[in-house]
Amino acid sequence: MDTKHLAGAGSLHLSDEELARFEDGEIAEQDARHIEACEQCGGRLRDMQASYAAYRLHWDTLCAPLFPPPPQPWQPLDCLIEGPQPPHPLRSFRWGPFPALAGAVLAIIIAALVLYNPGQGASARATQLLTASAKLPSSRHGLISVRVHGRTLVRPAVMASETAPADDSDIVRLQAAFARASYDWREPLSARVFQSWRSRLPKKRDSVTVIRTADEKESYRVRTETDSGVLRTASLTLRSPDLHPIAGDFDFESEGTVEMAEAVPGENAPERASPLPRPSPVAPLTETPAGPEVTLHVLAALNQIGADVGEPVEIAQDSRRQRVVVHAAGISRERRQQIADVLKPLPQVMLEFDARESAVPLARTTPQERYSASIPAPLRQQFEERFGGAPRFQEATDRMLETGSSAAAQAHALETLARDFSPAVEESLASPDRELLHRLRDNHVSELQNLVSRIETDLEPLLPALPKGPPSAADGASARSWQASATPIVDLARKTDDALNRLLAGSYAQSSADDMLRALATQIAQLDAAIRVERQAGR
Amino acid sequence: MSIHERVTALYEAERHNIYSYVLYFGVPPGRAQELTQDTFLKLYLTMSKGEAIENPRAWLYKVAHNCALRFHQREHTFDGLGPGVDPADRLPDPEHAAMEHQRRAVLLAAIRELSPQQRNCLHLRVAGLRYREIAEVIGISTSAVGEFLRRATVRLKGVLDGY
Repeated sequence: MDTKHLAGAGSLHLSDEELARFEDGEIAEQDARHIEACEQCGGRLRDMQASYAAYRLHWDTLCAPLFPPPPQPWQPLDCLIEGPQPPHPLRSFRWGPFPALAGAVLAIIIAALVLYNPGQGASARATQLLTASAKLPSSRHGLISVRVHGRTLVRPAVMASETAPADDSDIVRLQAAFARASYDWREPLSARVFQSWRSRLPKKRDSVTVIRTADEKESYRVRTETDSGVLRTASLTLRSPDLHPIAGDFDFESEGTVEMAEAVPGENAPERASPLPRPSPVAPLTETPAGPEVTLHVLAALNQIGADVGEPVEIAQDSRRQRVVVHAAGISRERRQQIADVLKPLPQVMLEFDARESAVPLARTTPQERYSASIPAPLRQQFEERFGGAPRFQEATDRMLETGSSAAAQAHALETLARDFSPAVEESLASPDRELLHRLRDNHVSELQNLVSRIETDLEPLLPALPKGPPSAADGASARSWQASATPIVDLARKTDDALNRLLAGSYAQSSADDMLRALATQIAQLDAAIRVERQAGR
Repeated sequence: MSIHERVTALYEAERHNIYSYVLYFGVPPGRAQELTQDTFLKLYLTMSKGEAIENPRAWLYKVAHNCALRFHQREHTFDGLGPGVDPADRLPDPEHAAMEHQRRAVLLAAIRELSPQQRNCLHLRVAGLRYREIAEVIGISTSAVGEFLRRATVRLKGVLDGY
């Protein structure tokens, strides 16, 4: 019994809602003490818990056993993201004038089979790639660079002893960390060693990604994560097509990330005549940092093909801050190619695509929204009449939900731009880049305004007349930076999308419909006004 | 943890619960499984767009709830408690547990008499959702959740007190 309902606000006892909040751990300490001390409230709480227990018993023993198991095996999430996989023809590689080594040929075939077999899991793909790579002879005279704690050191790729004496304190600590992880320090950039460490893990999560640099060179990155041991994540990058290991990252619980890469003699790293285990500090392989202008150029290039809005494309700097990494998952082969093409001219950009690809455009994987059966029937009838019939209401609903979602995605793109290019960062850009940044921002704001106009038009039969007065700058919006002004625009766009979803695909009582419509009208008017102020400010 | 990894972990942990929840709305198993998978795909796509989801588990129930209702609206009617048979009749050996059988039959009848919203609130509460999360899933206020749960509790308590 809801005591406050009966006894009024002055009641000493807690309401049922407050009792439930107590169970959720969301109640003030004072009220919690009251429940413990009050026999009546404690009793009501026990009644609630007994009812829940009875329902759980009913469900577990009577309902759940009657439910049939899923008729099909569950699809892995990757398959859901990527959609149905058509058979992929093997890539045709251009053979050079010299015959390839038999091991390399085998590696190519295995890599192709592994990466284009859609039914295979990431672990199986990782195992096959590592196994194929491990069969290659290791280079006993090469060098590798080791980047740890902000320093870059060089050591032999293969060392004779795991416990060779070292003067450098970083190396001593690394040796110990690798030993604790049971990872062979003598040859860390080796698929055999990586596989040996990986195979001993009680639980692990694998992933395989394809990395493509701007100069079209491809490699495969095998990444393994675990919750056990001191080495939590390790990845090995295998060069395509021969699967030769060229780089590795090792994320230790205590040491942070250790990055290793094959050092090419005669380029940046000094060649060592003697394979002594003593490292020497050298300059990093590349010291030019990828500044914000690189990210800006990437965004502008993606904007040309609309890939900066609403697509699962993530942009970040690598840990050395020397490259901008563009990571995409679950997009079609055609889209991959488009992205690669527009980014190709840009320096210091690295592309990462998931190993498997989709032939299905992303948008088609999302089921079309439909309005909810929970719209109260009389209200739905009213809506349909105002739109000129059920089919027209249905069409408008689908369109509005889609437009609302696009507006939220567009707002997110604007938010990303505002976050990545703060006023200070903007100030540091060269003049042409600042203009480019403003053009990008204007594109987002303009597109957002178009989407809002479309929502307004579609909603006209339902909404009260929207105020369309001149935009007001009374709140000081025009005096703020465009980055600061983006925040309320983004917030309003998301709220509008939520409100549309709730109105057209949610579940609610008829009595609340008028309030929802009024609130939606207000939000749209505010969003429209905020966008117009922003556009008139002309920043 | 990346978005992909987070959604994968949720998919492994929650897909059977979401599947059962969709079945609870009377959706056939094949469609229920498809809707369940669609729900997780939507979660991935939504998170990939950068939208912040405070409680992905509650979000999954909310989308599954809407999917099940849309299925019902488009395809056919449903009985929230299953395919129309009396689960009490399926008990393996009612003679050996006559009292328990009777108690459960009365409990079942009481649950069937609850309104769909009361049953749904109860189901989600037992599934471990918080008060405000239930409100979000069903699209009603927290005070309405409180009222539905209160009525359900009173009804079930009456049955339990008789045994």
